[in-house]
Amino acid sequence: MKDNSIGQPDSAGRRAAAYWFSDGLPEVVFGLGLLILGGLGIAWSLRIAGAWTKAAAVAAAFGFLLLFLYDRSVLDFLKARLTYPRTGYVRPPENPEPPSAEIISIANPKHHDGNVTIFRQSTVYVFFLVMLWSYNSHGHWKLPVWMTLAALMVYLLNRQEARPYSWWSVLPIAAAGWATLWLNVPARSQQFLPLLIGGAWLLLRGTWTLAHYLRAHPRPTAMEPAAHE
Amino acid sequence: MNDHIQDLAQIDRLIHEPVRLMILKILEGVEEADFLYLLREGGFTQGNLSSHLAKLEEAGYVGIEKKFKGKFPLTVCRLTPKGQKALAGYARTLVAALQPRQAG
Repeated sequence: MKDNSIGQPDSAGRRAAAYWFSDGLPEVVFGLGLLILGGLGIAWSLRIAGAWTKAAAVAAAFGFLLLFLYDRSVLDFLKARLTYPRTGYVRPPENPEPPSAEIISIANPKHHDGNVTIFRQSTVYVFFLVMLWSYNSHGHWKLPVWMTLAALMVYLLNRQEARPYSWWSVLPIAAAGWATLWLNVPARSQQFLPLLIGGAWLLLRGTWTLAHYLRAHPRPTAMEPAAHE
Repeated sequence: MNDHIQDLAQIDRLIHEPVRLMILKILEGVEEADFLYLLREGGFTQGNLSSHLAKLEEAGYVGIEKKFKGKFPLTVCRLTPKGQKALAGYARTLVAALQPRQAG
């Protein structure tokens, strides 16, 4: 099925914001972070291997906090090696509206710029939120309901953003929640499943996008194909 | 007749050229962009983009800086405050002249 979620944005700022996600790296990085955090949380809750799990979980949580604070720098470091040599560098806008937008919007009222940092709130926070909700609500039917809600939130919150998701692309989040009904997950580990499911979903989507991007844009042989004189 | 129609004669001809207008519009929407991004985004040829960027830089509308991201050299362009002001003025003049006059 064709993914229609990546449309052609209508302004330079929005296109630059969408370009930030075109290589899949933000999803890979945050997906991997959530997956590690969720995996270590489950290992901790099951008391696998004792003290080192606790230390690793605390270190992972601290690492994830740093990723939240410095995500643009981390991604910039990775993009400098993967993306910029292939398709160029652009720094998406910090402010959603450029100075002449008001004037131009007379001719083009559908002006809306994207902000790449919204991705953290509209996608990554959702899985933390669901983890908090499911913390005190154990029971076989709770998690599938929370994960269905998470899928709905990811779809709705990103609909107008730089990285929108189609309705069918968020279905695996809900489906994974319902699949836990058939797994014998201990109650104390269930609260970490949203992170694990969200992380796996983001990582898979990001890896898929990255693979397509790398195949479509092989690394150029020259250091810089078009040096401006 | 629209009162602003004669203002079109004073329009900034440096911006009025389509390639330069495209460059400025791309740069207006972003913090900064490199030569390769502009090339792909605007569908320009290298020589074309290079010569128009030189004119915009000469007018002080665009700042061009050589940077390194990791080991990769970049020619980074950004719209200067003078360029922002000029583009906003150009847009204002054009929209005022082209908008139909309100009746009554």
